[in-house]
Amino acid sequence: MKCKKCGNKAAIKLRAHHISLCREDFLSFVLNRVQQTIKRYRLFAPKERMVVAVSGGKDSLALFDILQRLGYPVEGLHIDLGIDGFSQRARAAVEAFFAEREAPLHLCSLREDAGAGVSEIAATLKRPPCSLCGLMRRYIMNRFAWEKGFSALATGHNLDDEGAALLGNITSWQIGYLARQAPLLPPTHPRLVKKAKPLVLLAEREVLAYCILRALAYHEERCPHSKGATSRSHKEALNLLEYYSPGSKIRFYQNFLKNQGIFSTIESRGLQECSVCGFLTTRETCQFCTVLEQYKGVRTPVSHSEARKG
Amino acid sequence: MCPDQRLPLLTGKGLHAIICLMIRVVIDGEEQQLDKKKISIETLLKRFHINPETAVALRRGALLTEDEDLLEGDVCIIVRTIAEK
Repeated sequence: MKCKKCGNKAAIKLRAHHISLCREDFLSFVLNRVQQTIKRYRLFAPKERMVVAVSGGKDSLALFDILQRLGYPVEGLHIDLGIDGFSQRARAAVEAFFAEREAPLHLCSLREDAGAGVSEIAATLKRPPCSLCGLMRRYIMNRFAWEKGFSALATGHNLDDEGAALLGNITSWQIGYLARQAPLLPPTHPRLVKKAKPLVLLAEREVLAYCILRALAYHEERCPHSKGATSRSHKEALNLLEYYSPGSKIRFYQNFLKNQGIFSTIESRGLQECSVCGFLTTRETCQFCTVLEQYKGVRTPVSHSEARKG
Repeated sequence: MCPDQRLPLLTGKGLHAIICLMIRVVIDGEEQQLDKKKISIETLLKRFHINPETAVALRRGALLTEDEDLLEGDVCIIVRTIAEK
């Protein structure tokens, strides 16, 4: 199989785009694709100060690498979720990645901020760890980005992630989520920074191939709590469609974005200050503080440790 | 003859030689040996029920397209977008 651009031996076939590309042309394809996404959805300006949420997995490390190569002044934020063993190995991968390229990395620890890791909190409250993990990560990321004066928070959601979320929202007709799902979530309050997803037009396999060809040492291990996650079956369903009809995933997502206006009449709920920590919430007490209060069993103000620059 | 039938009869270098001549495939960290002289990546993925949209194949660190063949002695690593383990 030959590269469609240069005629050399192809390294990868991209059926959704009807092309095969060699290593160099595929790497250029990925950078161009992300640059197009940034431009098309107006994610951020060239000199904007942005922080990339890095878990240590392939998507977030690829995103950081790509944004750096495109010349954006990026910094990393890693949240240690306190999942025994798994979090230590993820953190080690992140620290090695940033040390190698001498890039700025900020570290937050849920155990230091909340007094316990996700696993302990979930077990104590008998709640699914994935939903707790999601809400706690979002809280820490939002708060950190605002407190440190960043203008954007970038995450490594790829096409498969967004497609799976979309399919999940459609199968349960979560109209509110459908109205909000987008590559760019603008700040709806002065104390929130915008959130951008520059990898949304890249399939997960393309991101994986990018990491391999760039020899990025990402954390391959699957989270011990992710077994049975519904997003996994949604991804499998979409990839089955993609196999029989190449291009299905991108059409599904892009056509949703084109027609998203049909959901825009949903009223957004007003944000107010949390009665405990003072950060933003739609309720009297934010979900982060609610979880911590339930966990600790006492109503005390939350102390947030200063994120340290690594 | 199937190598599985010959293996108990061989030890040391003989066994090593037979294994080296097989096609070895590593999926989710587990190695499997194929009693084949040649197999394409496309056929290999079908054999292991892996959707090609969810994986890439590597030989000596290089990505392989689906039309490429593995030959005796090759070691192929299949990396999935979401690991099973």
